[in-house]
Amino acid sequence: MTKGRGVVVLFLILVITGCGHGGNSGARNVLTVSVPASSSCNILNAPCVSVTICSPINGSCRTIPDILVDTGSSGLRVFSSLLNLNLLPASDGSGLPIGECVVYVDGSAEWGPVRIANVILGNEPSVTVPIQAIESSFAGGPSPSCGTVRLLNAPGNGVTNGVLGIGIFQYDQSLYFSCTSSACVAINPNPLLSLPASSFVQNPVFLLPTDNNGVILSFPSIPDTGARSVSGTLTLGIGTSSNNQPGNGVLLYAATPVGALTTVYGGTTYSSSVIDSGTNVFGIPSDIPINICTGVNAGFLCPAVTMVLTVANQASNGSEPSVAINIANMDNVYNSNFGVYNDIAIDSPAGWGFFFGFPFFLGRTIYFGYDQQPTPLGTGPFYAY
Amino acid sequence: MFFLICLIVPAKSALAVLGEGKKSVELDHQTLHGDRMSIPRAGYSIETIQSAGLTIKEYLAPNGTIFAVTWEGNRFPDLVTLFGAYYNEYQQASDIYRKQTKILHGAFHLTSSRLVVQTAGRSPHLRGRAYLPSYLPPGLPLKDIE
Repeated sequence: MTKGRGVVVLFLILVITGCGHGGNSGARNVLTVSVPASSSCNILNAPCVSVTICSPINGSCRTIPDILVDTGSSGLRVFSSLLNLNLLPASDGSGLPIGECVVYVDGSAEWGPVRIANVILGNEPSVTVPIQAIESSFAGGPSPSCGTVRLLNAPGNGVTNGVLGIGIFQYDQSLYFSCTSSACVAINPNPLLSLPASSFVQNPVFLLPTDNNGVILSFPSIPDTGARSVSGTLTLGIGTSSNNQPGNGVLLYAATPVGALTTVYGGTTYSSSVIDSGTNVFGIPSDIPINICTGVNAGFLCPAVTMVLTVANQASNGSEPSVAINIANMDNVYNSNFGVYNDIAIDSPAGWGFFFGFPFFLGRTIYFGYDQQPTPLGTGPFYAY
Repeated sequence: MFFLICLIVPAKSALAVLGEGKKSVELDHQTLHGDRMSIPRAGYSIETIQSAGLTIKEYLAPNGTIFAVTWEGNRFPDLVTLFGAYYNEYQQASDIYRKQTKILHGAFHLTSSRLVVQTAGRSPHLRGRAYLPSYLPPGLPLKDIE
Protein backbone atom coordinates (compact mmCIF):
# COMPACT_ATOMS: atom_id res chain seq x y z
CA MET A 1 0.00 0.00 0.00
CA THR A 2 2.65 2.48 1.11
CA LYS A 3 4.96 1.29 -1.63
CA GLY A 4 2.21 1.74 -4.23
CA ARG A 5 1.54 5.30 -3.06
CA GLY A 6 5.26 6.05 -3.34
CA VAL A 7 5.26 4.96 -6.96
CA VAL A 8 2.28 7.22 -7.66
CA VAL A 9 4.00 10.19 -5.98
CA LEU A 10 7.20 9.54 -7.97
CA PHE A 11 5.11 9.32 -11.15
CA LEU A 12 3.43 12.65 -10.34
CA ILE A 13 6.79 14.31 -9.66
CA LEU A 14 8.05 13.10 -13.03
CA VAL A 15 4.92 14.39 -14.76
CA ILE A 16 5.06 17.75 -12.99
CA THR A 17 8.76 18.34 -13.61
CA GLY A 18 8.23 17.27 -17.21
CA CYS A 19 5.82 20.17 -17.62
CA GLY A 20 7.26 23.49 -18.69
CA HIS A 21 10.46 22.09 -20.11
CA GLY A 22 9.28 21.76 -23.65
CA GLY A 23 8.59 24.59 -26.07
CA ASN A 24 5.19 24.97 -24.46
CA SER A 25 4.11 24.37 -20.90
CA GLY A 26 1.64 21.65 -20.04
CA ALA A 27 -1.33 24.00 -19.79
CA ARG A 28 -3.65 24.17 -22.77
CA ASN A 29 -3.31 27.91 -23.20
CA VAL A 30 0.28 28.78 -22.27
CA LEU A 31 3.21 29.20 -24.68
CA THR A 32 6.78 29.68 -23.54
CA VAL A 33 8.29 32.89 -24.92
CA SER A 34 12.07 33.15 -25.30
CA VAL A 35 13.77 36.55 -25.46
CA PRO A 36 15.72 36.46 -27.60
CA ALA A 37 15.66 32.93 -28.93
CA SER A 38 18.58 31.45 -30.81
CA SER A 39 18.95 31.28 -34.55
CA SER A 40 16.74 33.68 -36.51
CA CYS A 41 15.18 35.27 -33.41
CA ASN A 42 18.58 36.41 -32.20
CA ILE A 43 17.53 40.08 -32.09
CA LEU A 44 17.66 42.48 -29.13
CA ASN A 45 14.47 42.31 -27.04
CA ALA A 46 12.68 40.05 -29.54
CA PRO A 47 10.13 37.69 -27.89
CA CYS A 48 9.66 34.49 -29.89
CA VAL A 49 7.56 31.32 -29.73
CA SER A 50 7.12 28.11 -31.67
CA VAL A 51 3.92 27.56 -33.64
CA THR A 52 2.69 24.37 -35.27
CA ILE A 53 1.18 24.73 -38.73
CA CYS A 54 -0.62 21.91 -40.51
CA SER A 55 -1.98 21.27 -43.96
CA PRO A 56 -5.79 21.19 -44.05
CA ILE A 57 -5.41 18.96 -47.12
CA ASN A 58 -3.27 16.08 -45.90
CA GLY A 59 -2.77 16.78 -42.19
CA SER A 60 1.01 16.99 -42.31
CA CYS A 61 2.45 19.47 -39.79
CA ARG A 62 5.54 21.53 -39.08
CA THR A 63 6.55 23.20 -35.86
CA ILE A 64 8.28 26.48 -36.70
CA PRO A 65 10.43 28.07 -33.97
CA ASP A 66 11.64 31.69 -33.77
CA ILE A 67 8.33 33.38 -34.55
CA LEU A 68 8.08 36.94 -33.21
CA VAL A 69 5.25 37.56 -30.73
CA ASP A 70 3.79 40.82 -31.96
CA THR A 71 0.95 42.60 -30.16
CA GLY A 72 1.20 45.39 -32.75
CA SER A 73 -0.15 43.36 -35.67
CA SER A 74 -2.77 40.74 -36.46
CA GLY A 75 -2.23 37.36 -38.05
CA LEU A 76 0.43 34.74 -38.58
CA ARG A 77 3.02 35.08 -41.32
CA VAL A 78 5.81 32.57 -41.95
CA PHE A 79 8.43 32.16 -44.66
CA SER A 80 7.05 29.81 -47.29
CA SER A 81 10.39 28.02 -47.57
CA LEU A 82 10.06 26.87 -43.93
CA LEU A 83 6.44 25.77 -44.31
CA ASN A 84 6.78 23.45 -47.27
CA LEU A 85 3.17 22.39 -46.65
CA ASN A 86 0.23 21.88 -48.94
CA LEU A 87 -2.04 24.78 -47.93
CA LEU A 88 -5.24 26.09 -49.49
CA PRO A 89 -5.22 29.42 -51.35
CA ALA A 90 -7.48 32.20 -50.04
CA SER A 91 -9.72 33.66 -52.74
CA ASP A 92 -10.65 37.27 -53.48
CA GLY A 93 -14.30 36.30 -54.04
CA SER A 94 -13.93 35.99 -57.81
CA GLY A 95 -11.65 32.98 -57.60
CA LEU A 96 -8.29 34.72 -57.85
CA PRO A 97 -5.63 34.07 -55.19
CA ILE A 98 -4.73 36.91 -52.82
CA GLY A 99 -1.31 38.36 -52.13
CA GLU A 100 -0.53 40.53 -49.13
CA CYS A 101 2.19 43.08 -48.47
CA VAL A 102 3.19 44.13 -44.97
CA VAL A 103 5.67 47.00 -44.74
CA TYR A 104 8.00 47.50 -41.77
CA VAL A 105 9.75 50.56 -40.34
CA ASP A 106 13.06 50.04 -42.14
CA GLY A 107 11.29 49.97 -45.50
CA SER A 108 11.46 46.19 -45.79
CA ALA A 109 8.31 44.24 -46.59
CA GLU A 110 6.93 40.74 -46.35
CA TRP A 111 5.10 39.76 -49.52
CA GLY A 112 3.34 36.52 -50.36
CA PRO A 113 0.07 34.69 -50.80
CA VAL A 114 -2.69 34.33 -48.23
CA ARG A 115 -3.11 30.63 -47.48
CA ILE A 116 -5.59 28.72 -45.34
CA ALA A 117 -3.76 26.67 -42.70
CA ASN A 118 -4.52 24.76 -39.54
CA VAL A 119 -2.65 26.49 -36.74
CA ILE A 120 -1.92 25.08 -33.29
CA LEU A 121 -1.01 27.49 -30.48
CA GLY A 122 0.31 25.77 -27.34
CA ASN A 123 -1.92 22.81 -26.58
CA GLU A 124 -5.06 24.49 -27.91
CA PRO A 125 -7.25 22.82 -30.51
CA SER A 126 -6.18 23.53 -34.09
CA VAL A 127 -7.88 26.50 -35.78
CA THR A 128 -8.33 26.92 -39.51
CA VAL A 129 -7.16 30.43 -40.37
CA PRO A 130 -5.80 32.49 -43.29
CA ILE A 131 -2.07 33.16 -42.82
CA GLN A 132 0.55 34.82 -45.01
CA ALA A 133 3.17 32.60 -46.64
CA ILE A 134 6.13 34.98 -47.10
CA GLU A 135 7.40 34.42 -50.61
CA SER A 136 9.12 37.34 -52.34
CA SER A 137 8.70 35.85 -55.82
CA PHE A 138 4.95 35.16 -55.52
CA ALA A 139 3.06 36.23 -58.68
CA GLY A 140 5.95 38.38 -59.83
CA GLY A 141 5.89 40.52 -56.69
CA PRO A 142 3.67 43.39 -55.55
CA SER A 143 5.78 46.18 -56.98
CA PRO A 144 5.28 49.07 -57.10
CA SER A 145 2.14 49.31 -54.96
CA CYS A 146 3.91 48.48 -51.70
CA GLY A 147 5.97 51.63 -52.06
CA THR A 148 9.76 51.57 -52.23
CA VAL A 149 10.56 48.41 -50.34
CA ARG A 150 13.10 45.68 -49.94
CA LEU A 151 11.20 42.41 -50.12
CA LEU A 152 12.35 39.97 -47.46
CA ASN A 153 13.16 36.59 -48.94
CA ALA A 154 14.68 34.62 -46.06
CA PRO A 155 14.93 34.67 -42.27
CA GLY A 156 18.16 35.72 -40.53
CA ASN A 157 20.00 39.06 -40.26
CA GLY A 158 17.33 40.58 -38.05
CA VAL A 159 14.41 38.81 -39.72
CA THR A 160 12.59 36.11 -37.72
CA ASN A 161 11.09 32.93 -39.20
CA GLY A 162 7.72 34.59 -38.98
CA VAL A 163 5.47 36.90 -37.00
CA LEU A 164 2.57 35.89 -34.76
CA GLY A 165 0.32 38.96 -34.72
CA ILE A 166 -1.78 38.66 -31.57
CA GLY A 167 -2.82 42.30 -31.37
CA ILE A 168 -6.16 43.54 -30.08
CA PHE A 169 -7.86 43.61 -33.51
CA GLN A 170 -8.86 40.54 -35.49
CA TYR A 171 -8.11 41.41 -39.09
CA ASP A 172 -4.90 42.59 -40.69
CA GLN A 173 -5.78 45.47 -42.99
CA SER A 174 -2.47 45.88 -44.78
CA LEU A 175 -2.21 45.88 -48.56
CA TYR A 176 -4.09 43.09 -50.34
CA PHE A 177 -3.85 42.18 -54.01
CA SER A 178 -5.76 39.97 -56.46
CA CYS A 179 -3.17 37.96 -58.33
CA THR A 180 -2.75 35.88 -61.42
CA SER A 181 0.40 33.76 -61.74
CA SER A 182 2.39 36.72 -63.05
CA ALA A 183 0.71 39.97 -61.95
CA CYS A 184 -1.22 41.48 -59.07
CA VAL A 185 -3.75 44.29 -58.79
CA ALA A 186 -4.21 46.09 -55.49
CA ILE A 187 -7.50 45.66 -53.64
CA ASN A 188 -8.17 49.13 -52.29
CA PRO A 189 -9.07 51.48 -50.78
CA ASN A 190 -10.81 49.45 -48.09
CA PRO A 191 -10.14 45.73 -48.32
CA LEU A 192 -12.68 45.06 -45.55
CA LEU A 193 -15.41 46.09 -47.99
CA SER A 194 -14.05 44.17 -50.95
CA LEU A 195 -12.77 40.89 -49.54
CA PRO A 196 -14.61 38.10 -47.72
CA ALA A 197 -13.65 38.10 -44.03
CA SER A 198 -12.62 34.47 -44.42
CA SER A 199 -9.81 35.61 -46.77
CA PHE A 200 -8.17 38.06 -44.36
CA VAL A 201 -4.95 37.28 -42.59
CA GLN A 202 -6.21 37.33 -39.03
CA ASN A 203 -5.27 36.81 -35.44
CA PRO A 204 -5.76 33.07 -34.82
CA VAL A 205 -6.49 33.60 -31.10
CA PHE A 206 -9.87 35.15 -32.02
CA LEU A 207 -10.83 31.77 -33.55
CA LEU A 208 -10.04 29.58 -30.53
CA PRO A 209 -13.06 27.81 -29.02
CA THR A 210 -12.69 29.28 -25.50
CA ASP A 211 -9.49 31.28 -24.87
CA ASN A 212 -10.40 33.81 -27.54
CA ASN A 213 -11.03 37.13 -25.78
CA GLY A 214 -7.45 38.30 -25.30
CA VAL A 215 -3.91 37.34 -24.34
CA ILE A 216 -1.59 37.94 -21.40
CA LEU A 217 2.17 38.45 -21.70
CA SER A 218 4.23 38.00 -18.58
CA PHE A 219 7.99 38.38 -18.15
CA PRO A 220 10.34 38.46 -15.16
CA SER A 221 12.38 41.51 -14.20
CA ILE A 222 15.98 41.70 -15.29
CA PRO A 223 18.91 43.81 -14.01
CA ASP A 224 19.13 47.38 -15.38
CA THR A 225 22.46 46.35 -16.89
CA GLY A 226 20.71 43.84 -19.16
CA ALA A 227 20.58 40.06 -19.36
CA ARG A 228 21.69 37.38 -21.73
CA SER A 229 18.11 36.19 -22.24
CA VAL A 230 14.80 35.72 -20.41
CA SER A 231 11.87 33.40 -20.68
CA GLY A 232 8.26 34.44 -20.19
CA THR A 233 4.78 33.28 -21.01
CA LEU A 234 2.07 34.02 -23.53
CA THR A 235 -1.24 32.97 -22.00
CA LEU A 236 -4.28 32.77 -24.26
CA GLY A 237 -7.63 34.07 -22.96
CA ILE A 238 -8.47 36.41 -20.08
CA GLY A 239 -10.55 34.91 -17.27
CA THR A 240 -11.43 31.88 -19.38
CA SER A 241 -9.49 29.37 -17.30
CA SER A 242 -8.05 28.98 -13.81
CA ASN A 243 -4.62 30.17 -15.04
CA ASN A 244 -5.64 33.45 -16.68
CA GLN A 245 -7.74 35.22 -14.05
CA PRO A 246 -6.74 38.90 -13.78
CA GLY A 247 -4.83 39.73 -10.62
CA ASN A 248 -5.94 42.29 -8.07
CA GLY A 249 -5.22 45.90 -8.92
CA VAL A 250 -5.03 45.38 -12.67
CA LEU A 251 -6.27 48.55 -14.41
CA LEU A 252 -7.80 48.82 -17.85
CA TYR A 253 -6.55 51.32 -20.44
CA ALA A 254 -9.04 51.52 -23.32
CA ALA A 255 -7.50 51.56 -26.81
CA THR A 256 -8.68 53.68 -29.73
CA PRO A 257 -9.62 52.04 -33.07
CA VAL A 258 -5.95 52.25 -34.06
CA GLY A 259 -4.78 50.81 -30.75
CA ALA A 260 -3.64 54.06 -29.10
CA LEU A 261 -3.73 55.06 -25.46
CA THR A 262 -3.00 58.40 -23.79
CA THR A 263 0.13 59.16 -21.77
CA VAL A 264 0.80 62.19 -19.61
CA TYR A 265 4.34 63.34 -18.89
CA GLY A 266 5.57 66.66 -17.53
CA GLY A 267 2.20 68.32 -18.04
CA THR A 268 2.00 67.29 -21.71
CA THR A 269 -0.62 64.86 -22.98
CA TYR A 270 0.41 62.37 -25.66
CA SER A 271 -2.70 60.76 -27.15
CA SER A 272 -1.00 58.41 -29.58
CA SER A 273 0.95 55.98 -27.37
CA VAL A 274 1.07 52.22 -27.90
CA ILE A 275 2.04 49.13 -25.89
CA ASP A 276 3.72 46.81 -28.36
CA SER A 277 5.75 43.63 -27.88
CA GLY A 278 6.97 43.90 -31.48
CA THR A 279 8.76 47.20 -30.84
CA ASN A 280 12.06 46.34 -29.20
CA VAL A 281 12.81 49.71 -27.55
CA PHE A 282 11.02 52.52 -25.79
CA GLY A 283 10.09 55.36 -28.12
CA ILE A 284 10.40 58.68 -26.32
CA PRO A 285 8.74 61.83 -27.72
CA SER A 286 11.46 64.13 -28.99
CA ASP A 287 10.14 67.17 -27.12
CA ILE A 288 11.56 65.53 -23.99
CA PRO A 289 15.21 66.56 -24.27
CA ILE A 290 17.54 63.55 -24.06
CA ASN A 291 20.90 63.19 -25.80
CA ILE A 292 20.88 61.01 -28.90
CA CYS A 293 23.86 58.69 -29.38
CA THR A 294 26.28 59.30 -32.18
CA GLY A 295 28.58 56.71 -33.72
CA VAL A 296 27.72 53.03 -33.68
CA ASN A 297 24.55 53.53 -31.64
CA ALA A 298 23.25 56.51 -33.60
CA GLY A 299 19.51 56.77 -33.19
CA PHE A 300 19.42 55.27 -29.69
CA LEU A 301 19.25 57.56 -26.67
CA CYS A 302 22.40 58.31 -24.71
CA PRO A 303 21.64 60.38 -21.59
CA ALA A 304 24.77 61.11 -19.52
CA VAL A 305 23.37 58.94 -16.74
CA THR A 306 20.29 56.70 -16.70
CA MET A 307 17.15 58.86 -16.69
CA VAL A 308 14.02 57.87 -14.84
CA LEU A 309 10.86 59.14 -16.53
CA THR A 310 7.73 59.02 -14.42
CA VAL A 311 4.91 58.77 -16.92
CA ALA A 312 1.19 58.14 -16.44
CA ASN A 313 -1.17 56.38 -18.81
CA GLN A 314 -4.83 57.40 -18.55
CA ALA A 315 -6.84 54.48 -17.21
CA SER A 316 -10.49 53.99 -18.11
CA ASN A 317 -11.55 54.58 -14.50
CA GLY A 318 -10.23 58.14 -14.74
CA SER A 319 -7.07 57.58 -12.74
CA GLU A 320 -3.57 58.24 -14.05
CA PRO A 321 -1.33 55.80 -12.21
CA SER A 322 2.31 56.61 -12.81
CA VAL A 323 4.99 54.20 -13.87
CA ALA A 324 8.73 54.81 -13.89
CA ILE A 325 10.64 53.89 -17.02
CA ASN A 326 14.42 53.94 -17.18
CA ILE A 327 16.33 55.27 -20.15
CA ALA A 328 19.93 54.08 -20.16
CA ASN A 329 22.86 55.35 -22.16
CA MET A 330 23.03 52.83 -25.02
CA ASP A 331 26.80 53.30 -25.43
CA ASN A 332 27.29 52.34 -21.77
CA VAL A 333 24.67 49.63 -21.28
CA TYR A 334 25.13 47.68 -24.50
CA ASN A 335 27.03 44.43 -24.09
CA SER A 336 27.37 42.19 -27.10
CA ASN A 337 26.75 39.12 -24.91
CA PHE A 338 23.35 40.41 -23.79
CA GLY A 339 20.08 40.17 -25.67
CA VAL A 340 17.56 41.77 -23.28
CA TYR A 341 17.41 45.27 -21.82
CA ASN A 342 14.68 47.03 -19.83
CA ASP A 343 15.97 50.53 -20.49
CA ILE A 344 16.93 51.11 -24.13
CA ALA A 345 15.17 53.75 -26.19
CA ILE A 346 15.11 55.83 -29.33
CA ASP A 347 13.55 59.23 -29.77
CA SER A 348 10.49 59.65 -31.95
CA PRO A 349 8.37 62.56 -33.14
CA ALA A 350 6.43 64.08 -30.24
CA GLY A 351 3.02 63.65 -31.88
CA TRP A 352 3.56 59.91 -32.12
CA GLY A 353 3.45 59.57 -28.34
CA PHE A 354 5.33 57.04 -26.23
CA PHE A 355 6.06 53.56 -27.53
CA PHE A 356 5.95 51.14 -24.64
CA GLY A 357 7.97 48.53 -26.47
CA PHE A 358 9.41 45.30 -25.12
CA PRO A 359 11.44 46.94 -22.29
CA PHE A 360 8.08 47.83 -20.72
CA PHE A 361 7.05 44.15 -20.65
CA LEU A 362 9.92 43.10 -18.38
CA GLY A 363 8.77 42.63 -14.79
CA ARG A 364 5.13 43.06 -15.82
CA THR A 365 2.04 41.09 -16.69
CA ILE A 366 0.18 42.90 -19.46
CA TYR A 367 -3.32 42.02 -20.67
CA PHE A 368 -4.47 42.63 -24.23
CA GLY A 369 -8.28 42.70 -24.39
CA TYR A 370 -9.61 41.86 -27.81
CA ASP A 371 -11.88 44.09 -29.87
CA GLN A 372 -15.53 43.62 -28.88
CA GLN A 373 -14.76 40.61 -26.70
CA PRO A 374 -15.97 40.61 -23.10
CA THR A 375 -13.51 39.77 -20.32
CA PRO A 376 -13.64 40.06 -16.52
CA LEU A 377 -11.68 43.32 -16.90
CA GLY A 378 -14.10 44.82 -19.44
CA THR A 379 -14.72 44.64 -23.18
CA GLY A 380 -11.88 45.21 -25.66
CA PRO A 381 -10.05 46.78 -27.28
CA PHE A 382 -7.92 47.52 -24.24
CA TYR A 383 -4.56 47.18 -22.57
CA ALA A 384 -4.41 46.33 -18.86
CA TYR A 385 -1.65 46.00 -16.29
CA MET B 1 -11.36 50.35 -61.75
CA PHE B 2 -8.52 51.94 -63.67
CA PHE B 3 -9.04 55.13 -61.70
CA LEU B 4 -8.54 53.25 -58.45
CA ILE B 5 -5.35 51.66 -59.71
CA CYS B 6 -3.98 55.07 -60.64
CA LEU B 7 -4.56 56.29 -57.13
CA ILE B 8 -2.62 53.61 -55.38
CA VAL B 9 0.32 53.07 -57.69
CA PRO B 10 3.03 55.56 -56.75
CA ALA B 11 4.46 56.26 -60.18
CA LYS B 12 8.15 57.04 -60.49
CA SER B 13 8.99 60.75 -60.30
CA ALA B 14 5.62 61.30 -58.70
CA LEU B 15 6.79 62.81 -55.46
CA ALA B 16 8.25 66.09 -54.46
CA VAL B 17 11.93 66.00 -53.64
CA LEU B 18 13.65 66.93 -50.40
CA GLY B 19 15.89 69.94 -50.81
CA GLU B 20 14.22 70.96 -54.05
CA GLY B 21 11.55 73.47 -54.93
CA LYS B 22 7.81 73.71 -55.04
CA LYS B 23 7.59 72.69 -58.68
CA SER B 24 8.04 69.09 -57.64
CA VAL B 25 5.00 69.38 -55.34
CA GLU B 26 2.91 70.37 -58.31
CA LEU B 27 4.25 67.41 -60.28
CA ASP B 28 3.17 65.26 -57.40
CA HIS B 29 -0.35 66.39 -57.43
CA GLN B 30 -0.63 65.89 -61.18
CA THR B 31 0.81 62.41 -61.15
CA LEU B 32 -0.89 61.07 -58.06
CA HIS B 33 -4.33 62.57 -58.74
CA GLY B 34 -4.54 62.81 -54.97
CA ASP B 35 -6.40 65.50 -53.07
CA ARG B 36 -4.07 68.39 -52.40
CA MET B 37 -4.34 71.02 -49.73
CA SER B 38 -2.04 73.88 -48.83
CA ILE B 39 -1.81 75.09 -45.23
CA PRO B 40 0.11 78.33 -44.58
CA ARG B 41 2.05 78.49 -41.32
CA ALA B 42 4.24 81.18 -39.80
CA GLY B 43 7.51 80.98 -41.75
CA TYR B 44 6.64 77.92 -43.86
CA SER B 45 3.76 76.07 -45.48
CA ILE B 46 2.50 72.49 -45.62
CA GLU B 47 1.30 70.83 -48.80
CA THR B 48 -0.80 67.74 -48.13
CA ILE B 49 -1.32 65.10 -50.78
CA GLN B 50 -3.82 62.40 -49.98
CA SER B 51 -4.22 59.22 -52.00
CA ALA B 52 -5.79 55.87 -51.14
CA GLY B 53 -4.28 54.63 -47.91
CA LEU B 54 -1.47 57.19 -47.74
CA THR B 55 -1.20 60.84 -46.70
CA ILE B 56 2.00 62.74 -47.50
CA LYS B 57 2.82 66.18 -46.08
CA GLU B 58 5.55 68.29 -47.63
CA TYR B 59 7.03 71.19 -45.66
CA LEU B 60 8.09 74.19 -47.72
CA ALA B 61 10.35 77.05 -46.62
CA PRO B 62 9.48 80.57 -47.86
CA ASN B 63 12.07 80.18 -50.65
CA GLY B 64 10.16 77.13 -51.85
CA THR B 65 12.65 74.52 -50.67
CA ILE B 66 11.17 71.31 -49.25
CA PHE B 67 12.87 70.78 -45.89
CA ALA B 68 10.79 67.93 -44.49
CA VAL B 69 8.30 65.25 -45.50
CA THR B 70 5.99 63.19 -43.33
CA TRP B 71 3.72 60.31 -44.25
CA GLU B 72 1.10 58.15 -42.66
CA GLY B 73 -0.71 55.13 -44.05
CA ASN B 74 -0.41 51.55 -45.19
CA ARG B 75 2.92 51.84 -47.04
CA PHE B 76 6.01 53.96 -47.64
CA PRO B 77 5.97 56.63 -50.32
CA ASP B 78 8.48 56.23 -53.15
CA LEU B 79 11.63 57.18 -51.25
CA VAL B 80 13.86 57.16 -54.33
CA THR B 81 12.02 60.13 -55.73
CA LEU B 82 11.05 61.67 -52.41
CA PHE B 83 14.65 61.83 -51.15
CA GLY B 84 16.14 62.76 -54.53
CA ALA B 85 19.81 63.63 -54.14
CA TYR B 86 19.68 62.38 -50.53
CA TYR B 87 18.52 58.88 -51.41
CA ASN B 88 22.05 57.52 -51.87
CA GLU B 89 23.20 58.53 -48.42
CA TYR B 90 19.96 57.16 -46.96
CA GLN B 91 20.63 53.89 -48.76
CA GLN B 92 24.23 53.78 -47.54
CA ALA B 93 23.17 54.47 -43.95
CA SER B 94 20.52 51.73 -44.28
CA ASP B 95 23.10 49.25 -45.56
CA ILE B 96 25.44 49.98 -42.65
CA TYR B 97 22.52 49.73 -40.23
CA ARG B 98 21.45 46.32 -41.56
CA LYS B 99 24.94 44.90 -41.00
CA GLN B 100 25.01 45.75 -37.31
CA THR B 101 23.47 43.67 -34.55
CA LYS B 102 21.16 46.22 -32.96
CA ILE B 103 18.28 45.85 -35.41
CA LEU B 104 15.23 47.93 -34.54
CA HIS B 105 11.69 46.63 -34.81
CA GLY B 106 8.52 48.70 -34.68
CA ALA B 107 10.26 52.06 -34.33
CA PHE B 108 13.22 53.27 -36.31
CA HIS B 109 15.64 56.17 -36.40
CA LEU B 110 18.28 56.56 -39.09
CA THR B 111 20.64 59.50 -39.40
CA SER B 112 22.92 60.14 -42.35
CA SER B 113 25.18 63.15 -42.73
CA ARG B 114 22.42 65.49 -43.94
CA LEU B 115 19.15 63.60 -43.42
CA VAL B 116 17.16 62.26 -40.45
CA VAL B 117 14.55 59.55 -41.07
CA GLN B 118 12.18 58.29 -38.36
CA THR B 119 9.46 55.69 -38.81
CA ALA B 120 7.11 53.71 -36.57
CA GLY B 121 4.43 51.03 -36.69
CA ARG B 122 3.93 48.62 -39.57
CA SER B 123 1.34 48.59 -42.31
CA PRO B 124 -1.51 49.47 -42.21
CA HIS B 125 -0.44 52.01 -39.58
CA LEU B 126 2.98 53.22 -40.69
CA ARG B 127 4.26 56.70 -39.88
CA GLY B 128 7.34 58.39 -41.18
CA ARG B 129 9.21 61.67 -40.97
CA ALA B 130 12.27 62.74 -42.95
CA TYR B 131 13.93 66.13 -42.65
CA LEU B 132 17.07 68.02 -43.52
CA PRO B 133 18.32 69.58 -40.26
CA SER B 134 20.36 72.24 -42.04
CA TYR B 135 17.33 73.40 -44.05
CA LEU B 136 14.94 73.81 -41.11
CA PRO B 137 13.58 77.35 -40.79
CA PRO B 138 15.30 79.01 -37.81
CA GLY B 139 13.42 78.46 -34.56
CA LEU B 140 10.98 75.90 -35.97
CA PRO B 141 10.44 73.22 -33.31
CA LEU B 142 10.68 69.67 -34.63
CA LYS B 143 7.37 68.83 -33.01
CA ASP B 144 5.68 71.02 -35.63
CA ILE B 145 6.80 68.57 -38.31
CA GLU B 146 4.62 65.50 -38.00
